[in-house]
Amino acid sequence: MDLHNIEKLLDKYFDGETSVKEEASLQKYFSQKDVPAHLKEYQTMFAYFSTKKAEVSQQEIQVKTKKPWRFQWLSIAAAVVLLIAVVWNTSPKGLSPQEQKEAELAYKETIKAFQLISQNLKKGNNAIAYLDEYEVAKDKIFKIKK
Amino acid sequence: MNQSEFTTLVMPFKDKLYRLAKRLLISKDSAEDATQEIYFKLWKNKEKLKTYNSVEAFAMTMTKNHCLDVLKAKSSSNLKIIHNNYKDANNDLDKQTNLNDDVSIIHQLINDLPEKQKLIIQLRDIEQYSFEEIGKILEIQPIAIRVSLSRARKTIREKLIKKHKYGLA
Repeated sequence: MDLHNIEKLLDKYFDGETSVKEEASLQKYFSQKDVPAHLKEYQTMFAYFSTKKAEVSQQEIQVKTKKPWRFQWLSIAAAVVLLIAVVWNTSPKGLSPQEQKEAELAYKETIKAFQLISQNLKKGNNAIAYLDEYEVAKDKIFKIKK
Repeated sequence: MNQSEFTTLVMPFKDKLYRLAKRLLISKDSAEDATQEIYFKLWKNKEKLKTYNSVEAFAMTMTKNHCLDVLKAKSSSNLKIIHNNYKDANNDLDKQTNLNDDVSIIHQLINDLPEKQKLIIQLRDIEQYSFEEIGKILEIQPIAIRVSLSRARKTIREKLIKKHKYGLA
């Protein structure tokens, strides 16, 4: 192909209007050694494309990744056992009268302890109530300043 | 479908999937992983494969989507990983032996393109797909492809010429 045609094709190429076939002939043209100096850039471009096209994956593809079935029943059995154990232990059981009494006692004791804490907190609060006076005084001063 | 049928159906385009994955993920290892992953998915759906017009286009779309997901996951994790952080042993070697090699400049220019243009250059100029096939793979209108392709090619040309004239990228 003569130079004139190549230049025309290149223009089309950069407008995205060349066909796959025309691009192949450009590729072929630029794969030769002697290319006019003003087309050197394009030569590297086309050289890059053809080297990239030649790149291949080097790994073997494995599609069969199934594990042998032999040991899988073991994991299922283990899961079932675990499930039964959990259900067994967490299922609600009725309390005996003795246990019921103990639980009520524990509840009362807890409430008592909470009340004690609350009372003491109140005492502490009362002790520092006079601090509010400072607040009142401060408010007065700052109002004046405004 | 048995394994040998499957193999003859999907293995011919293995390298195309790999090259597409490598274009997006940059690193050779990630691309190999992605390819393996795609074949695993294809194998799982092997009964459905015959219903597709073009298994190749379907696999290419899967590869593209898979790689974009991988990139998204990478960029949204706390530690931000940019393409350039991936090490590619091959590339490093290339760089060492030929630091200012024009071919690696072009490689960089293409990788710097917007995602869609990068994909189109890969599919057209490297894999020589028709606009119609590219449209199927990328799930876009064939008309839009021509515009993006032209823009991408012109960007590469412009930057390449600049680089040659002034020595900057």
